[in-house]
Amino acid sequence: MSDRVEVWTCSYQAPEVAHRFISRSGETYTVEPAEPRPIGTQLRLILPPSFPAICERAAERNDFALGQTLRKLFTTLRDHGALYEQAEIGVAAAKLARARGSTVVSAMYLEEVEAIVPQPRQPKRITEALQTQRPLSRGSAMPLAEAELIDALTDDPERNLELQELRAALRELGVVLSVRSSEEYQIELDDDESPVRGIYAFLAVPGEVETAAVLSCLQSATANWLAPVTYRGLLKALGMADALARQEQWADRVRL
Amino acid sequence: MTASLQKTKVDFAGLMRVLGEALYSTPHVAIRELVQNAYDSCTRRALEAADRFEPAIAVTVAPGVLTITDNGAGLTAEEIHSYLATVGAGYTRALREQGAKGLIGYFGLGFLSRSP
Repeated sequence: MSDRVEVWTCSYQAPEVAHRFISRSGETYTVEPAEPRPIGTQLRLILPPSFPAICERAAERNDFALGQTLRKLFTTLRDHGALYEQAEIGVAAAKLARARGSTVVSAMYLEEVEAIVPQPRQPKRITEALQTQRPLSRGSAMPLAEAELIDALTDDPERNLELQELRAALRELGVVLSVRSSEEYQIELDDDESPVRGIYAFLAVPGEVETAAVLSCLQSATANWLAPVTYRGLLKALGMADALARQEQWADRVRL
Repeated sequence: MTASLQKTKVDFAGLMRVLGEALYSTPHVAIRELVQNAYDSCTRRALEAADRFEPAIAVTVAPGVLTITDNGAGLTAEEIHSYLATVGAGYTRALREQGAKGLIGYFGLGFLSRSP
């Protein structure tokens, strides 16, 4: 995030001397004696002109890439016979996600941890971390604060068919669908019509499944839904700029 | 062909990029890490140094420059090489493993956050 970093420091162990560390790339650095200073450290970051733009990027833009990196890490660890490291990394990732304001993603990571290490095999530290973090991760900036896992949208079996068909189609690919909603999550499709209940869903996609196949399945299974389903992360990952723009326009319109 | 023990190679630039992107998704998180370093440095001075001091951390922003100043333990030249310039080597972890309380850093990655 910086073009150049300078550290001017003086140790309590040798208060008569100070040093300056300078690095431009992060890969090389210099250290030299510097003018005296009080005990302590001054860190100066020379910021690139692009810094304000970087700051304005929404954290969630990174969630998709971070999730992919995390899953690759899980797979590698599992392939090397690791038992609990994945869970510990997952818990740490959930904590980081929450720190950047992505509470929904944080909740998703915690769910993955629970799937990796089922309750009877959980070491105490993992159980404790899950118990501490779960309540903090469920809340969300979206109206999902009280969201529950759901299998059906209504009590009317006819109206639930679409969701069941989507679930079945994804299962054919080996993808698991986890759907959430709440009474508060209402979407206004049109000013003249009463709002409809919205859902928010996570897909657990095995590493070997092609992203394009998941997209194709989502597109065909939800083509006739009352309101379009958005999957902007997928479109972004596949570089489908036009479709992404349409979904973003829709998301803005109904204030997703 | 006989088996031979080879040393794993590390693509340093790639590793820095992956770690930077995966750990620090926004500059805000990266800046928080640097402030945490300053906090841990003050904790270290309180634990190790004999003198009494009032811990202080200041973050100032000028156009194009962000400055974080602390009156913590500071670093010797040797510590700069060992901890500041070595990714994954954190002095805080060593302190924590000796039973020190009130520290934040762990993996020796906080300073990496300022890398391009």
